[in-house]
Amino acid sequence: MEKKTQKVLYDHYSLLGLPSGEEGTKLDEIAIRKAYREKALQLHPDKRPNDPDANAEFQRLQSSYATLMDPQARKQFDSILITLRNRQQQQPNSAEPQQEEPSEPKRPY
Amino acid sequence: MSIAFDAKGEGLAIGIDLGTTYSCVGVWQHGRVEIIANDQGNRTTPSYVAFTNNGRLIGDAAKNQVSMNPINTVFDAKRLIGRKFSDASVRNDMKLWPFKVRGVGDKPMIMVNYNNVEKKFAAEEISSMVLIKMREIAEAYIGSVVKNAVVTVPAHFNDLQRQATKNAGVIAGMNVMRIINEPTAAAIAYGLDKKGSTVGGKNVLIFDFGGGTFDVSLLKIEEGVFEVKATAGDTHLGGEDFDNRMLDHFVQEFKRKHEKDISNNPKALRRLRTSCERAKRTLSSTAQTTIEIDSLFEGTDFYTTITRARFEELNMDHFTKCMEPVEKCLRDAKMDKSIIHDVVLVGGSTRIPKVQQLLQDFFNGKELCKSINPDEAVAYGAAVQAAILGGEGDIDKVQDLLLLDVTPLSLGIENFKGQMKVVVPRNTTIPTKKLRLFTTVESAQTCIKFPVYEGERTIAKENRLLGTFKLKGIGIAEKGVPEVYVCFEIDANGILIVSAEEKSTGKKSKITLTNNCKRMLCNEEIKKMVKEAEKYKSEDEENKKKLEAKLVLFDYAYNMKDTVSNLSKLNRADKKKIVDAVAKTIRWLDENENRLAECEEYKDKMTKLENICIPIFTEMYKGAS
Repeated sequence: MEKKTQKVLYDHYSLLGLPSGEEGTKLDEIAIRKAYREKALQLHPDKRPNDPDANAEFQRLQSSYATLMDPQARKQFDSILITLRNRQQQQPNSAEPQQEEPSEPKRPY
Repeated sequence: MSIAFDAKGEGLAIGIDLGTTYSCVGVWQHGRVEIIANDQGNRTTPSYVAFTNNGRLIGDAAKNQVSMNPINTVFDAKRLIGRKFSDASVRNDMKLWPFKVRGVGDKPMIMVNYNNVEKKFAAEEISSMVLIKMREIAEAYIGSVVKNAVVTVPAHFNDLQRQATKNAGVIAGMNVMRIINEPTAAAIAYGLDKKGSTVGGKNVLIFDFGGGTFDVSLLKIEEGVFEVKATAGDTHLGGEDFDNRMLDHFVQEFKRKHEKDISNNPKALRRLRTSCERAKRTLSSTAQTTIEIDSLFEGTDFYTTITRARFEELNMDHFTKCMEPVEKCLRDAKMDKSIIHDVVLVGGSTRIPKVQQLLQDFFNGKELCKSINPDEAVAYGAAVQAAILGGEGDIDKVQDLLLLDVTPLSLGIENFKGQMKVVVPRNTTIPTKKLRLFTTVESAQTCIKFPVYEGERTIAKENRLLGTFKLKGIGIAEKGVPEVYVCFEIDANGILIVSAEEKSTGKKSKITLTNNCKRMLCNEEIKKMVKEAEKYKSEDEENKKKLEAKLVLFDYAYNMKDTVSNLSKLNRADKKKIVDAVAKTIRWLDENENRLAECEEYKDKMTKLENICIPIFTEMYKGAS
């Protein structure tokens, strides 16, 4: 009875202001952390107390950062990106596809 | 000039370290932090509140009179705040406190005698009094009204303890801009001037061992961003526990030596405890010290010595217990101890040589960092955070600083099997938002109850229940079909909002756990306490005026007594008139030694005395000229 949570795909690299694609997959931890710090300073709610979107945007940044800092999750995400890019190359006119995030089994309650 | 003004232009924002035994206040001014000394010239203030027949005393004044008035002098409010009366720690602490604590519902209330009236106070109210004192200290220094503050709590404080601390701020009439973790605040004090740091950042372990609580936090500090990786600790372990052990030891010794039991005499216990605290401090720099108390109990003096080795033996289990959170913290952060760049000591208890030695041994002989003031670092960091939050970008030095803190305890929901389903794991960076998908366990189930827990145990009931809420009106379906999203959202203030939504019907339900009336103070109660706090404050002012009027009368009476006895020119009848009037006044003052009369009474007595003295003196001088 596993249902999957549907989520919009965010490109974790571009969310952190990093180059996506081939270049992105080669970035090391230090570069990712540096990009994260720069973004966090901009997006953190403490830095823009009157912005109602601050929390949500920071949370998005945080989850992208967590994905890229976890070697396994990053690898999985990289492979998804490659698949998508290949598919896009075959069908250049198709709309930006959405992706399912690692699935989450529904918990019986 | 760079001054931290808050967004509403309500003046400077301050940072307060609200400690178990001592508190400290700082402010960011002129591009740096100033730790503010109190009216006694001390940079830390005892977290003590005393209730006497001459009014309320807070801080040094309260601690200084503690042995005269042990049962009405309250301290350790931080060991009660946000806890239940039935908590084991509360039960144990009560045995050691000279003041009375009673359970009202399951809320512990402190009972004192104030102006000959039995009063009860919540821990929040006592803490609010300490906060008021700290604010007054800051206001006296800054020279204007202070509304906004950042207040620190131990990193391992749970949601209820944090909320209760925030309520203490509300009762004190302050706007608590943020509750921050003590070790994180200390990390700012450590890292503020080390911004141009090494590539890859610095891994810093903050070992914060204070008077009542113990915290370990591991941070990565890189280019002004302070990222907490993990935190662990014990909210009930500190210097006071060492005092208690020593106190026990000496009570036994007294029994042995003099065959007398002092354990039921609060005054004697308090005097002995004060000596223990002093001895403990001395033993951090010497190998042996003495305790000398004249007439401790039933006229018996108590003279003894204690060595550092004996002190260490008495507390060895406490000391070794401190290393567990260090290991847990490293494990949680997935870091090896070899990659820790600095181990920073914070809090008075880190002065104990044995604690330092154990910690140094654990880190294979690594030199410990003692560059920051262990008593002031937390308030220092809080003041920086107050400047960051209150500033409008005019503070070059702090505007590119960012604190990224974590949740100290896992948060989750109890499932139908009674297990804890973690939604937000401990050490998750805040603000955060986590979604979990739940469903029904029975067909045609239309309502789901969500008990929200906090803690690390797998059986939900063994954790702390924060609150329960229900989602009703789920569409009728087979079991396991409805999709119910549960969302945990924690904002930068650490306030948790849990909501649930069913997808097909769009039914929503949510709970803000901070408004949970059952276990905490509800808004009505807080409002009442705010009013009372204002009342106490005006009473303090009234008492101050009374005391001044009393002293004026006192001075005048003794002055007259003195003057008359030295005057030969005065005739006998007049002299007697004055002497009698003065004697009468002094007798009245003596009779009212233990209570403050109304200002009018003092003024009245003063006028009467003047009306007798002045005409006589006027006559005398006229005659002389």
